[in-house]
Amino acid sequence: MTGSLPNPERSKMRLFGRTLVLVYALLLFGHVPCSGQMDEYSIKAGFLYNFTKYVEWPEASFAESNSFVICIAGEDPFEGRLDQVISGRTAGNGRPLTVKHLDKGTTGNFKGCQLLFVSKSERRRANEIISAVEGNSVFTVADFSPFAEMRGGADLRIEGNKVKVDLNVSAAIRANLKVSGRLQQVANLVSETK
Amino acid sequence: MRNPAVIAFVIIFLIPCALGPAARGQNDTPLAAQGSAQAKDIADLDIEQLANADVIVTSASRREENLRTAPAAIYVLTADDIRHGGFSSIPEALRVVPGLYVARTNSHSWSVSARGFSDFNNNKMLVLIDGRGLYSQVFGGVYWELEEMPLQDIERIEVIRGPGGTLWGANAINGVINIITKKAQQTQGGSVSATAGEGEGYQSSFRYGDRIGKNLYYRIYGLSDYWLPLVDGTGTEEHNRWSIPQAGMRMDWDASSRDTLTFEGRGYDGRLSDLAPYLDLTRGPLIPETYVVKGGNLLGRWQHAFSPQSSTELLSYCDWNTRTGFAPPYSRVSCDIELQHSYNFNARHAITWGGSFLTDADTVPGNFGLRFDPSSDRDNTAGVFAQYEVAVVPDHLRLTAGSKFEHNSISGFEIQPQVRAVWTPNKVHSAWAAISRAVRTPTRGELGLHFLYARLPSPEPTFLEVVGNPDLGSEHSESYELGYRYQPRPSFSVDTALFYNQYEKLVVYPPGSPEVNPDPFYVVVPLVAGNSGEAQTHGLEVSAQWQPLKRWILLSGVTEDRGSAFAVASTPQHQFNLQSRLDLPFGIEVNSALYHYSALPPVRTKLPVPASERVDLGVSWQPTHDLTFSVWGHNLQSDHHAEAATDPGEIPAADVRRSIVFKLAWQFKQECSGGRK
Repeated sequence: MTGSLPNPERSKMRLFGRTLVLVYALLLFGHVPCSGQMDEYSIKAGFLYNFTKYVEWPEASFAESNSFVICIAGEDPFEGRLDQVISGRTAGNGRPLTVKHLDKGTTGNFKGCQLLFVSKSERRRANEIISAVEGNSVFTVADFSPFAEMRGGADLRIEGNKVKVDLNVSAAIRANLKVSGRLQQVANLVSETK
Repeated sequence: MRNPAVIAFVIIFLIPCALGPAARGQNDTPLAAQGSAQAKDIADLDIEQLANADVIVTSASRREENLRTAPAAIYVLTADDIRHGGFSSIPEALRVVPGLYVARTNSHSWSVSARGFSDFNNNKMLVLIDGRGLYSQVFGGVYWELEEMPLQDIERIEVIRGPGGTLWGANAINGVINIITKKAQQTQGGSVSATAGEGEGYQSSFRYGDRIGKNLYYRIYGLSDYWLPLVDGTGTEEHNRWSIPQAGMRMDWDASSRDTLTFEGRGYDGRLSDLAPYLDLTRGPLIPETYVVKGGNLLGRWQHAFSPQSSTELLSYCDWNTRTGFAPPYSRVSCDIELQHSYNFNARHAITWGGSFLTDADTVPGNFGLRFDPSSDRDNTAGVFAQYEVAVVPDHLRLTAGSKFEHNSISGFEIQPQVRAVWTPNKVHSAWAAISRAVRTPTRGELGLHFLYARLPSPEPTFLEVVGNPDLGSEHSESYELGYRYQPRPSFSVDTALFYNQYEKLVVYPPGSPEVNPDPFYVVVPLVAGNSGEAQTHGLEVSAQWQPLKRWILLSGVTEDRGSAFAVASTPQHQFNLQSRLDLPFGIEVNSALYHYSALPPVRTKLPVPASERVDLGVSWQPTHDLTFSVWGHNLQSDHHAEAATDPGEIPAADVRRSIVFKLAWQFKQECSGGRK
């Protein structure tokens, strides 16, 4: 292609080409892909799935149904991500996983739930929900903070650009749940303020 | 293909660009596209990996959930909406908002109004950036040119049409424009952007964001720009070019699970030129003048959550600016502190209350043509507000009532109450109604300006002089609003609002009897400010969004503004816009917009402005995750057209011109620390 060019032009051309290749190679490969980047609710769905494995529920809590029920109280922020994460998977004890949506504002029917995800839309009802599940083996996880400090089980919050788990071990013990040491290590352990 | 450089360019540059996304694997494709595959893989991650994963903040155009149930005429412009407009400044980006009228009167002046009263001294809108008020106590409007910023750092702009006095205080009589910038967490890594436009000018910006320690994030940015002047009615360039380089920072610190602290600061130093009124009897009526503008601001915010039910926010800022040029060098300092507390008693009852103190001082030394009496002044405003919200029927009927009580050193006590109700029978329909009272306190100009603003065409020097009146009181408005939202399915929604506003004690300038000054000889016709104006306005605002295909979104707005001639003369009676956003494969997006504005009638000595259309078209190409090229044509329909009218003798409003703008944006480093190993 460049054969007809006089020599100085040719070397200029080569230099130009090399520079472009270098610049573009930098553009193309210089950027290290950030494999650890995910959207917020994919990560939160991942945490919920992991809670089914790292928290142990008493057998009695499965009296009503054989499957492990993740309930979502209020508006569902997952947009299908939670269903995708758990599809074809089982809970830690081998039980099939199902997701149940509870209407905004319901307080009565938490009993069939093992894991109760409290959506941001229910922030104002946090105390009501905590009281309603009291005495049942339900692990409550809120999508807002503070919640674990308010006698809730755990909350997921964004700190910097990571999802942090605040965990209230005493609330779990009251609910007759065992939280594995591995989860306790990852979580930020909080104590109740009141 | 005789030129080897062209061949080399195609081989080296374009082909890898096209192959780039494929070659680089799934991790760099946009999240929306990889969504499901990624979500399934999440289950394979262990809990430590999840804890270390970085959150990508999605900037999807999804409107905030609670908008559907807001008891006010609110429209939110998301970061995505702003990007799809291809504009380079904030007031231009607001053009797409249904119900707003954006009139660019010269290269560096915009009037952004809702529900009438479009004017350079558009003193009935309150504009805030992260809570910092931009309302100029001196003339009542916003110096938009001083508030430029890299638009990609804006998280969203909430536009509330109608009175916002209960929460925001005086001067939010016709609306609130609330600009919210991104948190530093969302702008980690670097980015560089450059813009060059025929008919617009040049802009370049850089940003770098990083983290100090574990929870302290920051970004710094710089922006330099050069804006070409607009043109006059014959298409000749005017004297209103400008350039205001600036630098700034934002820091966000998650101090604990309950505390968030934010610090922001910026400074600018620039020049802008314009025609200025004569300064004495001998110089011509309008002369080109260059102004030097300098200024900056600092802001701090502390948010603390006591419990899920109770949270508080403390905000404080100071803003200062100086302007020298057209003789009186002007300087202003304002500082503000605000405290707000929200408490939810239970799911049905909630209260928000707070207090604020604003002090605003300025100095405007005078000259022959323009002086303030007194030349220095300080105004203090102290206020408290409370707003109670009750869900009368949980999830279906909500009532909000509240009031602001304010005391200012100009007009004394002001009360701004409002009652709002919203009824949401189901997810498809929602209706709201509101009654509010709002006030606007007189500006420094209205109180003490002496301004020979126009020279009449007569043999003896005869001037129109605007004369302030220190005895002025506040303007009052009573507003009645009704709204209805309809969303039969996620891909289609319509939002309508009807309003009727009754204004009393509006500041007007009736001409007085001429006065003769013997030496030097000239005649002055004084226009003395008085509170004798009354007006009513009414109108309809409709906005609709329809997504016929997954990759195609249509947005539209219709605005009708009617009422007393004095109130709506500078606002088109009828406005319409239609925007289309099409996402094509290979990272190509095609955006287009059509606007129609009806004619502005002649009022008093003002000339009419003919009806106009505006066509914008933009194509952007994102070959890789971090690189975007785009080309925008704005005002493609004609060489130039006017958006505002002026009186003869005033600085004439310029015509906006066609522009073709090229943009390049490159992000060069993503925050990768702590990623999956």
